[in-house]
Amino acid sequence: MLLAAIDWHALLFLLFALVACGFGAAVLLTSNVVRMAFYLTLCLGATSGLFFLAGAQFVGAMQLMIYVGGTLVLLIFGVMLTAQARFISMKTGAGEWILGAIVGSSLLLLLVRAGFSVESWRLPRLDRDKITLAEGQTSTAIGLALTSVRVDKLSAPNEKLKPGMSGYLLPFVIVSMHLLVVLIGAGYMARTKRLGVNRATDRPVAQAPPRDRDRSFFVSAGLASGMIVNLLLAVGCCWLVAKPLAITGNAAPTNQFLLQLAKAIDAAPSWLLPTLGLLFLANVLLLVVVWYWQKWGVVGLVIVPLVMAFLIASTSLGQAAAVTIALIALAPVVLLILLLCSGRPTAWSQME
Amino acid sequence: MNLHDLVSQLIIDSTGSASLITPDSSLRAFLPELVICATVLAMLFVRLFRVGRYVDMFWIALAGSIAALYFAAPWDHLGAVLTADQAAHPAAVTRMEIFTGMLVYDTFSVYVRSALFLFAILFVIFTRLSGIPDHEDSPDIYTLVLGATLGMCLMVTANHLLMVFMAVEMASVPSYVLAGILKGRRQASEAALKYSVYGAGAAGVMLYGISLVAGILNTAHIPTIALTLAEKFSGGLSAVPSGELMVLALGALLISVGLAFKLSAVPFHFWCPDVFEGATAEVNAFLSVASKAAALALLVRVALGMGVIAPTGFAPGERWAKTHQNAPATTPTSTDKTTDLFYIAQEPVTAAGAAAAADSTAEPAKLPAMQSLAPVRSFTAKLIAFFAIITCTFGNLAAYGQTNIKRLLAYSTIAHAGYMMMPVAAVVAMAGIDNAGAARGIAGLAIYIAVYLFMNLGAFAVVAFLRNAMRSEEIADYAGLVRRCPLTVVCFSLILFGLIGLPPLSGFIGKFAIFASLVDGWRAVEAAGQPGFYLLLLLIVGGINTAISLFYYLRVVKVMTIDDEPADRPPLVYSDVSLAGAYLWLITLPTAGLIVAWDWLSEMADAAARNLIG
Amino acid sequence: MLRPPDGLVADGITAIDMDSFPPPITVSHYLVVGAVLFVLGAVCMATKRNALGVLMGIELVLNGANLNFVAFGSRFLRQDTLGLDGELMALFVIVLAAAEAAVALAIALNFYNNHTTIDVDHADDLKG
Repeated sequence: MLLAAIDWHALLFLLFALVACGFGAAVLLTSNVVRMAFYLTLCLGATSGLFFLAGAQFVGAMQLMIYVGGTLVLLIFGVMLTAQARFISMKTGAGEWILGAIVGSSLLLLLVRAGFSVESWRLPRLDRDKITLAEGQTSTAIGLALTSVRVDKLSAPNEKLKPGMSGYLLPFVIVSMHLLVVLIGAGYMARTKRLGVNRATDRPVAQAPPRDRDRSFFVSAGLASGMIVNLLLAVGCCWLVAKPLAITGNAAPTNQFLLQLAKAIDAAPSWLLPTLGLLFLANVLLLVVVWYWQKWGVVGLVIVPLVMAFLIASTSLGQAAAVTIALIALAPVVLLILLLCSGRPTAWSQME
Repeated sequence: MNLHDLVSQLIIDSTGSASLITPDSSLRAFLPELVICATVLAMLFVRLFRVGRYVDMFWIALAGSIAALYFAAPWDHLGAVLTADQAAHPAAVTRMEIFTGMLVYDTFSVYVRSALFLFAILFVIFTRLSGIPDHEDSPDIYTLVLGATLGMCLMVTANHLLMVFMAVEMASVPSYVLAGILKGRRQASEAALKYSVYGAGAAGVMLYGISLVAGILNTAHIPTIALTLAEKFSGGLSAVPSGELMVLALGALLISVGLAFKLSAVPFHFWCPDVFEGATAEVNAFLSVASKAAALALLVRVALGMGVIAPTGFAPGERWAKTHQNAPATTPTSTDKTTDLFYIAQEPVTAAGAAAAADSTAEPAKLPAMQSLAPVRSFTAKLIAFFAIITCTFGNLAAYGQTNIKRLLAYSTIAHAGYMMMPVAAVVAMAGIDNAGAARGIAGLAIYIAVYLFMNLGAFAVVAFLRNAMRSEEIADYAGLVRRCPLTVVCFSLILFGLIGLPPLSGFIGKFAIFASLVDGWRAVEAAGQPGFYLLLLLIVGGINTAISLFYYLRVVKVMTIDDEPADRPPLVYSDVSLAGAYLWLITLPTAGLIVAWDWLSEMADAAARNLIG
Repeated sequence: MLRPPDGLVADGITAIDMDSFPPPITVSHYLVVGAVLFVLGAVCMATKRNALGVLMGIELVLNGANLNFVAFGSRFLRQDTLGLDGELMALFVIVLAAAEAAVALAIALNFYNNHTTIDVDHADDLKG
């Protein structure tokens, strides 16, 4: 008689809720970290019971398997690794307790009030007698939703919400990427670093370069002349941009070479000349860099003609012109490298 | 509709048309992120082989970032939006919800993701030049950097509350490890611990807020949230039960805690100076630029997503079907009962389905919905404005008296987060009143993000290179540097002047765009008869703060140029013309020269703002 | 006893309430448990000195939110629900929490190795 009148669902809810809240409070109140971990296990286990009662069996099972069985074991592992007597029990100061209690209780009051302030949350389902067990069997639907097929969309009571029922394929796939990255990160953090001297901050500050580096006259002259030539070429490019050569009419150059050049420039797209001018300027800068004993300047000097050739080849001027220009531009660079590598001691060996 | 139809829809959603130019499918729109994933996997895979141990992961990370930028293709997509007949242009991006509504793909996402990938490229080169990480650590570190970048891309495109939370986690958790990258150092591990504990707490609070919002509106899909909210508020503010209002406000506040933490907005900024001081300058650059840009984009997504009815766009596959009339229609017609595997197929689809069809054909009137969302927008705008004011002011005031350059730049970062939140407040306030003005505000934010990227990366690059040269990050040790490496000092000074926002430099463009949007917003809101004083207040606070910030930035410049060199400084081995120096010139070039190409940048930014508001 | 305040309950429902011993469970009851776990976790994070204790506080906070999601999605508790989204989001939160715990634990162990303490009060090399 009496048993029939008892709502077992509500009673079990009360049981699990009390266990969850009670052991949650115990986690907070104890200062022993081992006990804390144990209470947390019970608290999370009771929460999974609440999940089952709400009809989310799959989530409840996952809570037990992943949370209680995985994450908490990880935490307990951490407790064991750092288990020294002085860390096992660390007490919180009274002031923090008081502050925590005041802030916590006011926050709790606010949240509980919020929980009761919406009508549809406050009222139980009207046709509770008609709830069938089948309504709680959501595992198939969850599995399909993880492959982005929402079968519950078909029976959703609210039509307007249907377009917002997204499939969960993307999060399901991308979370694996996240787990991979996170495991690599955790492994990196937990591994002890060999005390190498590879890292920039571990290395001693580099030795200052010798002040008395000498450069042969030929290298200096080559660098200087290269700068002048490139500067002139850059200025020439700017000049041609500002005042294009006429192809026909009286103003057309009589010199055959200049005429050809004017025609070529006319045929090329408008961006080519300014770009070439900039590249010649870059060459000047790179030569300055080489002047200051930097090896990367030489690498840059080799790359710039190749870039030029690539740009010209991509226009209508054709590949023959590109190869010619590249060869003409590369020749002085090769000469410069030969100069750098000659002499004793070679300029190259003194560079950084 | 039965299971077969659902599966067919899914296939169309994922693959769409096979065109590589037209972003017409979820997978095509998601291609840059997939490239990032493939890069991470490649770095793991290469290490399996003995030869691979000698491969420098720098090259793989660099190639992956460049490929991602190439596939994001802002030059194609943003340019195409601005052409006259953009509807016909194959590369023009329209708003498109991808992965069945989990993410949204539009010009804004193209712009910000491109900025992130560009930053990734520059950042990878920067780490190579500064020597952190070394060869042994580099696979792990680049994996973490790219993993965090992936999370940031998801933050930029999030369209679902789960994705909001997940993206924040994906961007944050690798960052916690990055903060402790020098794991043998006490300070670094302390920074990582603080960052992870505070970050996890903020994420938990945000999750609780998300649960409240999703629970009261019964959906987690952001555009549907806006629709549901509009329905709730359709009878005016007074018709909504006060309890529901309270829960909604509470949920919004809790979510704003998580966002404010990512933005390092006051009062959730406390982690920022400590983490910046403990982590290396390289990581600081990553946190202060990429993380901040992504957080701002997420703020725009959430604030605008909930306060504005989303403009209509194409579903994946629709554009292809439209341009290829002879192609099979998007809606599959097969209802063959033999293919139905599950019980749901037997469910009658008659009444409810027909009602839904009728609903969708009769387009619901948009304007009333936008108008009924006005209280939501007003609340959001005021909340953001509040955070912006205190963040900006506190950041600038606290930057005084800092002796460590990384702490100084941390507070500068906080202050700039405040500046960047200002246009968001104006945009949210303007939406529905002056949509064109709101779009200009988004464009202003986009300009600021681009400008800020180069300035802060440059600032931290200087700090890192000087640390390598003299093992010190104290401002006092920078004294008289101008006599040792004049070019670097010039670069750093230009960057600092840019951060102030002095006219010929790019920082001025950003500040100007932002303040202009505030004026726009104030005028539009006042003209509509609503209180807009807070936007004016934002403008005044922004102006005063710019003046305040002048002093502490100039102090650094003064120390570097006027002060005498300290006698006890470690020997300085640094050459202006080294490769590192050249990198600095390259980074400073946009700061100094962007004023020339302002038109180009503002066009890109205009394009980025196109699809956000109807 | 967790019970909706009097006068707020619709008439039809109170009639049902009469014939069952504990009143029927509603979403609000779940929210109360969720709020309690959330607040306990938040206070735990604020007051614990042991880094691992702080991590446990985070787990409690996430569980409180998860309980909300499940309750909002439950079809047993009310007619018009968040639906399957609630359960799915709870699932993903469990996975993300596991990832976060792994990293936070690795960082805490690293801190322990460098400082030979896991007392967060000793984390004061960086003055805020």
